[in-house]
Amino acid sequence: MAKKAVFWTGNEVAAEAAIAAGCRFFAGYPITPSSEIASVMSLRLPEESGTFIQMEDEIAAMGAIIGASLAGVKSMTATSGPGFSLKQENIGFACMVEAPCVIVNVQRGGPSTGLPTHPGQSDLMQARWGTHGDHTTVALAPAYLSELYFEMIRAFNLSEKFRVPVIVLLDEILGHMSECFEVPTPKEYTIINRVKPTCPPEKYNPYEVRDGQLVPEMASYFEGYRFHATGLNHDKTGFPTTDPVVCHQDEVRQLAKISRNRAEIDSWEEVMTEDAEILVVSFGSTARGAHSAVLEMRKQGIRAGLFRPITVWPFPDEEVRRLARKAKAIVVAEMNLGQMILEVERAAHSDIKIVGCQKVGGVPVEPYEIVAKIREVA
Amino acid sequence: MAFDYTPYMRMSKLPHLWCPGCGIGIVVKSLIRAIDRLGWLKDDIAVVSGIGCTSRAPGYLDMNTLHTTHGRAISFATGIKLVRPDKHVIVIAGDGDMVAIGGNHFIHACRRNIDITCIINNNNIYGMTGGQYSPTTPRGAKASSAPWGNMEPCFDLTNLAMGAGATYVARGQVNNGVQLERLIRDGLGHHGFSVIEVLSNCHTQFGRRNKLPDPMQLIKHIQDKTVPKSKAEKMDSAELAGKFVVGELFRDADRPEFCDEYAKLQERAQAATKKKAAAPVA
Amino acid sequence: MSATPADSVVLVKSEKTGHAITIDEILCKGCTICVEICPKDVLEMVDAIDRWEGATARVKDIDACIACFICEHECPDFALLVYAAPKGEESGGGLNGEESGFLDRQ
Repeated sequence: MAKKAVFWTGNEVAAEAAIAAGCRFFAGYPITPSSEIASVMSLRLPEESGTFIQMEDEIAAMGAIIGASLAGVKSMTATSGPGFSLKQENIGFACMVEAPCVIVNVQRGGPSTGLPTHPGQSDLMQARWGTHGDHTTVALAPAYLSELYFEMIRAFNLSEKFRVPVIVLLDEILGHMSECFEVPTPKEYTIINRVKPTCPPEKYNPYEVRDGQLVPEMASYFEGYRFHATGLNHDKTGFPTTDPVVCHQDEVRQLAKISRNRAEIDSWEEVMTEDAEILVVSFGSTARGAHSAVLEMRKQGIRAGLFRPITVWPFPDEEVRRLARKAKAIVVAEMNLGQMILEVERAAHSDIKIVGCQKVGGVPVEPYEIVAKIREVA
Repeated sequence: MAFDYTPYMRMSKLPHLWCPGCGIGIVVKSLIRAIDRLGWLKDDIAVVSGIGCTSRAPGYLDMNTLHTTHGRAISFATGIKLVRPDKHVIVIAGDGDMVAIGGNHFIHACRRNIDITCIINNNNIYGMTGGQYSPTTPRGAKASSAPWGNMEPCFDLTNLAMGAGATYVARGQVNNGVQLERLIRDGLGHHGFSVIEVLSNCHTQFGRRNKLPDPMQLIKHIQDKTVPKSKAEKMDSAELAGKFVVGELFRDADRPEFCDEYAKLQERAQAATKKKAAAPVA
Repeated sequence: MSATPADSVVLVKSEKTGHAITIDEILCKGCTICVEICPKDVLEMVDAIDRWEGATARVKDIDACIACFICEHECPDFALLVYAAPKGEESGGGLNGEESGFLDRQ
């Protein structure tokens, strides 16, 4: 099959990659700068026998995709900061009922209405902690559009495999920029689907795990299993319980699904970190500028290196700790007033000097600004 | 011969958690009888609820059940129905859940005319959270968040549904199980968005604060304020003041149903793609 | 397939009419709706210290029952079932729920 070369915006890439991953249900609500994802899905899904609906609000969109997921269909929504805030309760619901789904957040300036047509990266912490209660999410932050294509597929794969909502963090730059790349063929990626039960319905418990497994087999509605899903704390049968031991253990298992599968979930890029004295940590579109800054510094004889988390949640603590041991200082560059830097400080676990190169106001952190920060600590 | 509810129930979960005399059990039984009369299979039915006493109902039904977030049942149900339009999707929730926090989803489902049946157990109160007033609590009634008397006017849920575009709208009452079963059955069988409001009794929270603490007192009060549709048609507005008309209030079988329309859209999209692919390259 | 032990279900049948009523005394929460709503005064509430609310509904006068089903419809607790004698027979007739034909339709 001849590869197709395209010049797509990030939002278009996100939509097309989702379809390639098997997504056949999208529910969304218009919000800048994510709306093009909905537009593409509204055009393409019916062509693929899928379903698109523009719901009456962001909360409804999140509810609809969970309903579709429980009925057996890979589903997705897309939004930006204010919508992401609205969706939080239902994101927590997806965690609790362990419904696979993907939420793309094309970040913009915040908080509140913020800067709708300008980029930001200030929803990072929210992607991890936005909803109440002990829960875990997975969040991916690609930096290049060709990478975004694979990361969308990986988002669906992770959500199916671990029965967890997966958030893909873009920003207005990535969403609206265009890059030329060749669309990957199906040979270049695998598709993972949820594991369905093989036992007969009478023996099925929707949240039962055996033999050291952490992820329950997932039946779909209407296949004879007639299970109950609720946001209340529940036992393996799916019915509500207030038994403290059962509740505690079930929530521990939900977190362990992610914490004990780091090898499969973690992903990052390292550029010239082997001998880096100044480690630059950055993600998403800011990391592109950080990459330039690192190259510039190397030209000038400063041993800078870039650590770029691609999976941002769970945060790659161990990698940061490893690199922090060798480095003299860390510069964390991000389009917010200090969010990934908090994770870096936590993970570094040492007295190493850590400074932030932080900017809000809707314009990207530029390479020269990162260069200046590197010089400060070099 | 007798009716057997047990095949439709998760019997090991009984006795259910509702107060002695609570109308919700009556509504659930009417729903079961309606489903039985239609000959529907349990595997083909999804029952979705929000949060509140009424929303605990799906847990007792041996069907595909989903207990969602407060007010959001209809949005989850919409997702289920859109991906499985061949299946039966029922939403059951209370007045606060459905038309306060859930109001937006309610009116848009009416507007879309999606083939979902929505049963509202209207007991004029937020029962589970301790008796706060809801958008259907009568003016002047006492509630835990209205100790000086509710000063807000209340919705007429059937008017709201009709105004928003629902194509089957009915009002039943807990004291008439035969009528309620028929109204629910007709709503389930109707191909479009069906709303059945059930005038119901929460004597524990609403009744107790409003001089109607016993189930039968409150049920008689409900009976007294209702008027059958056939009789109401002959009454003037003065006579109807303060009364609730019960029966099938509105039906339109001709309005296009949402999933049907989307299927046509899919066909158009696929035909256009095929045509484009077959067209000679310029 | 009751949720409760079989011995908590009390069946009373009328020899005169063939109608019968069963009441599951564990599921009955003693709400009194059936007693008060019955048009023929068939039922009564009795003290039962080991039952919910310390009371349960019991059949008082089964011969008065006309099998209108109002008590069954109005019982919120799935506790009360009415078995109507098949039409044309004064007494006897099937009591088995399977006769409703429900199970054949599944």
